[in-house]
Amino acid sequence: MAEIDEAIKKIASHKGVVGTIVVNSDGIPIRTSLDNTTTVHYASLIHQLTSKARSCIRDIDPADDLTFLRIRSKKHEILVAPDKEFFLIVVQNPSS
Amino acid sequence: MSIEKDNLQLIREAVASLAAKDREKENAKLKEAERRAKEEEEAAARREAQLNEVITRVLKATNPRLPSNVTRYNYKEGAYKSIGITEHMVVHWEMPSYLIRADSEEAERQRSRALDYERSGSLTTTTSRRFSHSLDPDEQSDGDEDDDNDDEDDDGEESSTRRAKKEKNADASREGGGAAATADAGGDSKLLIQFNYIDRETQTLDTSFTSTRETMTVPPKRAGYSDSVTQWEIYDRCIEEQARLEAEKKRKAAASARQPAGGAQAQAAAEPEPLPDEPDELEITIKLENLEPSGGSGGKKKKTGGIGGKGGDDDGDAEEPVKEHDCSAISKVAKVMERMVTQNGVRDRIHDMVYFDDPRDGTAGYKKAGTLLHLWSVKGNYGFGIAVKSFCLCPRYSDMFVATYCSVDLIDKVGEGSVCLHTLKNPAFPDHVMDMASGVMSVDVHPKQCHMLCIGMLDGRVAVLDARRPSANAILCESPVLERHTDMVWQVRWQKDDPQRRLNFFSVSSDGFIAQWTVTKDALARRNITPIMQLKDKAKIPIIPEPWMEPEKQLNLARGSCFDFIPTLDNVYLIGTEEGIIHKCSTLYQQNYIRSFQAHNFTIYAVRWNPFQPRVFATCGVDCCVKIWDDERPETPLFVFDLDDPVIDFCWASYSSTVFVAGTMNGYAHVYDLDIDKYNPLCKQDVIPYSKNRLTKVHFVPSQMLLIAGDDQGNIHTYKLSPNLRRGVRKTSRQSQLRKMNEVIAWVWEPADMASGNKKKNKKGGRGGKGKGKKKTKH
Repeated sequence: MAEIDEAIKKIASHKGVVGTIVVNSDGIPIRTSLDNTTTVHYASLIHQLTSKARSCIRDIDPADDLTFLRIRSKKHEILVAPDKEFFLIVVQNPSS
Repeated sequence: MSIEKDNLQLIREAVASLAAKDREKENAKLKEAERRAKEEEEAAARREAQLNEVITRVLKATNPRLPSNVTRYNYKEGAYKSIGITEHMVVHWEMPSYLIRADSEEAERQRSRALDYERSGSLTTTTSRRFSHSLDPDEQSDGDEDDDNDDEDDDGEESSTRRAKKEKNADASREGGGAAATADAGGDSKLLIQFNYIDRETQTLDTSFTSTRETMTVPPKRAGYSDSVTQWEIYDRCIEEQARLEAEKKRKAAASARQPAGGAQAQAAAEPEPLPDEPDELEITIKLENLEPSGGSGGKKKKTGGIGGKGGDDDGDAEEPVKEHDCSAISKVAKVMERMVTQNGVRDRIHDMVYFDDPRDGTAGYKKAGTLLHLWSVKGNYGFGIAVKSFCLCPRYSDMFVATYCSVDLIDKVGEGSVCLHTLKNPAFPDHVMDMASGVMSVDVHPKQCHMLCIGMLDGRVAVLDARRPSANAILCESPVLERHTDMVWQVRWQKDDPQRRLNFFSVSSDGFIAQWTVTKDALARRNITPIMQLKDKAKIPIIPEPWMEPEKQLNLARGSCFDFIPTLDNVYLIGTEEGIIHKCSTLYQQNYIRSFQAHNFTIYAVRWNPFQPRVFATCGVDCCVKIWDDERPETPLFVFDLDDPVIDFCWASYSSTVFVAGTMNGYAHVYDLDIDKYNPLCKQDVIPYSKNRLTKVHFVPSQMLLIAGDDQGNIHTYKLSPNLRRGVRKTSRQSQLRKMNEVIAWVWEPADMASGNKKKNKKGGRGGKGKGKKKTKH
């Protein structure tokens, strides 16, 4: 438990990080630093996108797997690090 | 009077006769009446008798309208013959029925069939039944004929009609059978005749309410389900299946291999068991594998033991709550994420790191100058007074390097230290931190097994760390208490594995000894290589051992401060001492040195061989000088650079034989390229942004052309070399590097030859004389 918190704290201390969310494989947020509605929103949407992305990569070559996903928008950047059981979402403002 | 009389007489006679007649009539009447009465009585009696009479009546089934004299022509005899009519029955109306007796055989058969069809429960089967019926009429009719004997006359007639109309009725039976089947579907089976289903339905005319009534129930709950099959799902399952099969094979092999051992143990126990149970055997195998010794040069050995042991552990892990998994797996993911987040923050710096090309460097006035571009600084978070004491690059991963932290105050030897693995991909935090009880003075990464680090500590201990382990258990083995150095260990270096394939490394310490440590399974074994003797004849100040002197001095041991192995040979190395003398030694000779150089007046902080030209090495020390030596001429150095400040560290560039950097305590890094300028540095720059901090270490990172500098507050500053400083990268062949260096050497030693025809000498404006001159360069 403490490891998760430590790791998240380290990430959150970087400049420009708006929020961090840890979501388990069912799409339920385990840890978050944003408010509830935003968290749930992000979690569900990113979950779907990540599964789609992963399916895409693996369909091309089944031995391959998705390691990282980055979505750059005008306002910020969403970084998603997937894993077998959960994934980590970080929203960052890269310019600041 | 006679007539009258006659008349009278006639009248009298008539009257008399009438009277007589009347009397006779009356008598006749009376008699008749009597007679009639008697007759009536008799008639009554007769009637009664008649009434009581039983009259038999006979009904004849004869057709009264049938002609009785029918003649037909008989062809056989060729004559008309009258034939008797046999048929007296006239059928007025016929309606075949579908009812059969409930207790007849046919009914039984039908009931059983109906049950079967209910069980299979579909209309198709009933249609098949009907089809089968129509296809096998002979069977059915035969069966029916058997029944007919028991049945009523109706059945007999029906069977005959059936036989007569079997094909026509096949269709009718299908239609009728449909109705029959639907009737069948609900509740008990109606006894049906196989072929001839005729249902007569009536419908009452009912205007008061509609004949159809509908109700709608709540529809059953539905849930949508969809899935997709993709190539990788199939692939995953295949891989899982394979892994499972292999695991089973292994288990079986292990079980069968341990069978004799397990069996022996079982028999050794009190009761001989016929067959040891399977699970017990497996437990035994797992325990035995766990007992295998781990450690030693088996980073690999440990792994294999671990796999067997983990087979048992995994089952335990699976039962643990999910959160445990979260903890372990998240660190990997979090690391990746952290790197990305950090790189987002320092994106422009990362670009600089990779792509920086100072345009100024190509221009005319700047051919001999270069700059260092500051990229980032990794802050030390160990508190005040913990300095960066040593750098070592990881040979395998070009972006990783190890930095050690130690307290600045070497005399009091307080404070803790740590070994940190830094990576260029994450400029914010170290990748891996291993805390040690005392300050770590030096570290070396094994060239082949990059997870093995040997460290030398401030309190004289040496240890071997395994970077794969969690940071708390990082120490693989440590020097035994009695065998540690008595003073701080300045430097450690891995050497080739000994003939028994064990890792070994060397350490040099201020207590005057160089020790070779061998990593055995359990611990480190120490072997002294060379006590560093102080050479009296070379010493400028004679040392007279006096009791108040430190024990090393009493034994005439010099205090070693740095050493370096020749890159080409295994066993020759140089030691620099705190007295300023350099000894060239070999591991094969323990008593004598090959050569000694009186290099500096004070402590030598670094001695380094040139990575390309094994004749050349450089030293730097507290006396503010950097000296470059040629091994074949130990009397005088090739070059001397006076840098005005104690030179703490020195590093050759591994991409060019003539480039090096020297770091002075005031924070300046001097980068020289002997090929370009033999007097002045190409770059002299303050690399410690915080003016109060002092430089402690400099090192090149050739993978990205960087320079890292550590200061005494634990910060690591990263700089990018400008193109002028990294010349020679393109010329990658060793030969060209050697040639360059040889040219430089030649230039120093034989300027006379150069004077005759060499351009270089002409450029420099020649110094003349042999290379005795100490070329001082002033800044």
